[in-house]
Amino acid sequence: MRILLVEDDAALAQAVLGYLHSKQFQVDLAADLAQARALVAVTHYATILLDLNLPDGNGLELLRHLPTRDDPPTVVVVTARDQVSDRIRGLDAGADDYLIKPYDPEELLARLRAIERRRSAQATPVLLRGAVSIDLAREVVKVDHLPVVLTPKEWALLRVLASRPEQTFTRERLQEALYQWDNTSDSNTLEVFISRLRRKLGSELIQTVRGTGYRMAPA
Amino acid sequence: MNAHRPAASLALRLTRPLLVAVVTVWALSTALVVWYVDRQIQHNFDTELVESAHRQLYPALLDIRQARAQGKAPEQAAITMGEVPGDNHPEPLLLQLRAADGRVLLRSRGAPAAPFNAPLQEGFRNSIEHRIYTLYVPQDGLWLQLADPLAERAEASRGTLTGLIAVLLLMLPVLALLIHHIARRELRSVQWLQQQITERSSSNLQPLALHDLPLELYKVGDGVNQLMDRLHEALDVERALAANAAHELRTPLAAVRLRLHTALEQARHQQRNTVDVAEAQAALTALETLSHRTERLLQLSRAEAGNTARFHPVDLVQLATTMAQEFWQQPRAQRRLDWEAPAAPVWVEGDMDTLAIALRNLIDNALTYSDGEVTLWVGEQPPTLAVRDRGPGLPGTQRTQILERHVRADTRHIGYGLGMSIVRSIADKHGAALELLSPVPGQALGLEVRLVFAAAANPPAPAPEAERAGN
Repeated sequence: MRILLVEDDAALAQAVLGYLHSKQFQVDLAADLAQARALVAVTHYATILLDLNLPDGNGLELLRHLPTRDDPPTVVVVTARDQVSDRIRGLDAGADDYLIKPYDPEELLARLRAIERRRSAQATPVLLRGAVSIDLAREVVKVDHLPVVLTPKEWALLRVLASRPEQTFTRERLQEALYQWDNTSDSNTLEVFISRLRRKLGSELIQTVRGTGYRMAPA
Repeated sequence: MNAHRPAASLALRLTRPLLVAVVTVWALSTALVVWYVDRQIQHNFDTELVESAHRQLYPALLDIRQARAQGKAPEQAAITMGEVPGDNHPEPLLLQLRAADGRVLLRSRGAPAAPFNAPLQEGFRNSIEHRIYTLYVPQDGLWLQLADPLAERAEASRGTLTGLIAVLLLMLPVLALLIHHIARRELRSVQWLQQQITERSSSNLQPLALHDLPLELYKVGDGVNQLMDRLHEALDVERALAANAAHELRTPLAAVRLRLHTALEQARHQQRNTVDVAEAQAALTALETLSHRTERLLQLSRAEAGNTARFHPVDLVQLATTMAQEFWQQPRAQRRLDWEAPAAPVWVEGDMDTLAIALRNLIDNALTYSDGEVTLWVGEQPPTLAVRDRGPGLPGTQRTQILERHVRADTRHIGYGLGMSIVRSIADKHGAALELLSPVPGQALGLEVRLVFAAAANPPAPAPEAERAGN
């Protein structure tokens, strides 16, 4: 996986470069927007680690210069922790993910491995139900092509239901999916999470099977 | 010290308009009095004229009958009337007895030979110099005209006016002095208040003495006292922070240096080219503590400096979603943090970055100081950001302490107290109330911290695309 690191701080850039090389990644370094633009024009990167505060402008500018292709690079925006608005602007502008600066090497590695996994899992089928699309491998749910944020618990439940969309799951089986969380409250009943999923993804998606449990709506 | 020159004194500013107002009212009422008195004078003169006319009618008729009896022809030249009382007076009686054709048949000694410039018609008529009263005598077919010089009347009116204006002019300086004196006397308490405020400094923030002050000044003084209270608190925080910061940052720094030093020593001593993993790990841990604390101090300074000019509509749902996602990236939070999103965006006026700092602190505190699940929720009416944990909760005294004080008195850990003081400061900047509920309503344990905003804001004109992400 070829990576472009856009970072103007030389010391930090060298440290990250050294670390990623030691983990067998192929990494190029761009110290400013102009260099980054030149590099993306000639090289096909799988991932771009993009710092936003660059000497010659905002890093988000680069997003407009990315060549269009079937597998565009995964752009990870690197922002300071207290710049939440920057982060949201970055994601709105088309970045795929973000990383908070200063980051631990392990965190960076975990993120890159996740991207690798997702990119290689691209071929897995996406489950479609009406306006809802569920991509289990990439952990992306969209309604009307817009991504919807699910909590880990909601994901756990949806993952079970969507893994075998034709099957009806008993309440016990589904409750199990939630048990891995700290269950210190009564509000964690299955019904609460089913209704939350229905509110976020539409009431038609999950059907109640009387006396048994729940299942995904048929395609 | 002050760049602006102060405007005129308050006493002067009060005196001037008051004086102008009083003089205007006085002048107006004088004009009214003059008008009324003048009317009265005219009326009296007229009454007198009518009375004189009737009094003089008989002697005049006698004179003319006598003249006719003696065969004098009044048609050729007017007869001069016999002497009447007042003829020697500087303002003699002006009387003419006229025939129906206008000729003067008889006149008093002071009256002109030419007929008065007034038609033969009963009643009053003004000529250039006189006011003339005309009376008809039907049995003789004659007209009696009695004239009164207008100058006389004008003189009387002028006298009254002069008297009234003289009083006004005499009293004006007295009035001005009196008003100025009263204003100055009443404003002495302002001076007193000003003196008290001047005496205050960063080392003397004693409340001002407000007894015996008029209500308006009492309110000003009370405002100043409240301001000094907050200033006092802020200075306390700053001092505590400077002391804490030095202490809190020095400790991990010393640890890092010591650990690295030891590791290098050992490596050299044992003539190895590798450092001890345990020492390096300890140094790394100390560095992590250091960066965590630096982060919090930065947050605090940012929260304290929060600028309302940067406020714009913030969707609390989008904010909470973003924060939840940030925490879900940490393994410790992924299994513990739950986010109950409402169906629609909740807008407030604020600064997203500082609100994010507040929320991050609340979630971080809940995850650190409790076990079990932590729930993040957003309320719509009133707009509320809340974090609920299922830990042991906080006793009432500690809750009060957190709400009242910026930094915990015994700052053994910069963590919780500082975190809450950051949250409090951000809540204050946003005009939001910070509420601590323990145990959580409807449960035996737990702590719920809420940021309750005073009012919802209107969403920005072009609705952001990212809204859906929170639903």
